[in-house]
Amino acid sequence: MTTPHNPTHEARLRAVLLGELARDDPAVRALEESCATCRDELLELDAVAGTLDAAGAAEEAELAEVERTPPELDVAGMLAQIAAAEPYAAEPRTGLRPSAWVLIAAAAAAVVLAFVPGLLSDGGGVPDGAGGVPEPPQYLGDGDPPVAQLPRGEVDAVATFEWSYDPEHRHGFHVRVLDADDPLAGAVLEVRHWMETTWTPTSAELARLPQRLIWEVDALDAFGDVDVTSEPVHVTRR
Amino acid sequence: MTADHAEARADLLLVRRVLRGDQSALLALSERLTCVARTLRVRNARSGGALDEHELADLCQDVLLIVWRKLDRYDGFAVLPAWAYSIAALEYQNALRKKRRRPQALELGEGASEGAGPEPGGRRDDDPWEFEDVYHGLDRIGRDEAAVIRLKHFQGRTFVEISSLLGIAESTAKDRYYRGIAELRPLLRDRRTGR
Repeated sequence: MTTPHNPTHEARLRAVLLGELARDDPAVRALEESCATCRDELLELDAVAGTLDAAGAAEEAELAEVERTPPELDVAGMLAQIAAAEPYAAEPRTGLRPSAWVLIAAAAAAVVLAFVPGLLSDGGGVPDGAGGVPEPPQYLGDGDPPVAQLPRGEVDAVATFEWSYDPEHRHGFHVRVLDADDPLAGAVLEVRHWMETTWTPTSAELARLPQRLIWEVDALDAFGDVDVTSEPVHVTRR
Repeated sequence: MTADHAEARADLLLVRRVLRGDQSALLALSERLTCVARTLRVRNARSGGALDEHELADLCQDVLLIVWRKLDRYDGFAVLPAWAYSIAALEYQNALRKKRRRPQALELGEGASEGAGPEPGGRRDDDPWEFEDVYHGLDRIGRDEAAVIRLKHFQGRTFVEISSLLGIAESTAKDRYYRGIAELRPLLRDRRTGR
């Protein structure tokens, strides 16, 4: 007797696949005999499971062979080169690729060098406040970086910047806003040695903000040096 | 906890140290990743030494770079050498395919590349291409589903063990397995039809 394929059959096929119903269970045999779709499905499921088991066994055998085989290549040397070229420490903390930071650092260094005579005659030091030269990120501490919270994503307007940081390690912050379309041009807005975890720029400062911006926060250590930096946050003003 | 599981957990901790930028973890990582060079060598021997030493060294560097960039995806379900092995095996096949394509393309002109891949005439006992469709298939289906399928068929785990390893309900493990097989079936269909 044949029966049309139906949801009950599907449930039984699933039970067979999951091992809840033995392949040689009389109910499964009856299914094979009575439903052509089930017969085909079971054949295909057997084949897939068999292939996967065979692939697993082949992998196990090859892994055993791999273990017995000498590498004869300088893996440690190759890995050291790769790690030096693409270090991991910078990426999780900043979210920017190291090459971008190299460019930013180079640009900042070039600008600083151009101003060195003037800085020396002025008594030195990059002025605080808006328009300062962005410093390359420094990763000197072991603390968790600050988390830039608001604004982020698409917003109607930007009024206040908010971030979170462990109060026990709070020694001040630098906040930097970059033009997302030209991040290497330096900070369009910046505040340094800020003690709070919110910052509301003046309306004149806010007027300078580009439509698409990136902002990030440095947490400072007890000596006022940059300890860790937040991941940069992208913001688009509608 | 099985020995493999404990080893995989230790590998996961090692990888996390590397991801945090811990330089002292690099040497231990490179020890674990010697399997990349070993895998390439075994595959190459099975392919009759298709790649010379220079090509093998270049490929090893390329695979290590891929592994390095994917480190944050290592989930600790399998030991690190087994995880890296599947990447190395696939990349070896890709390199071999490229190498075979080159002279064919020169001799036969455009269109020759379609013939690149497994040698005609059926599979040999140690055919390095034999399960390439399985690995490609597992790469193409959902990651969660592929993880359950790997644990079940490559490590012989039960659904109870899988649910415990992944921290999910047994029913969820079964759902993922069922869904994964459904996604994988059409990708392995050529194998059944002999194409």
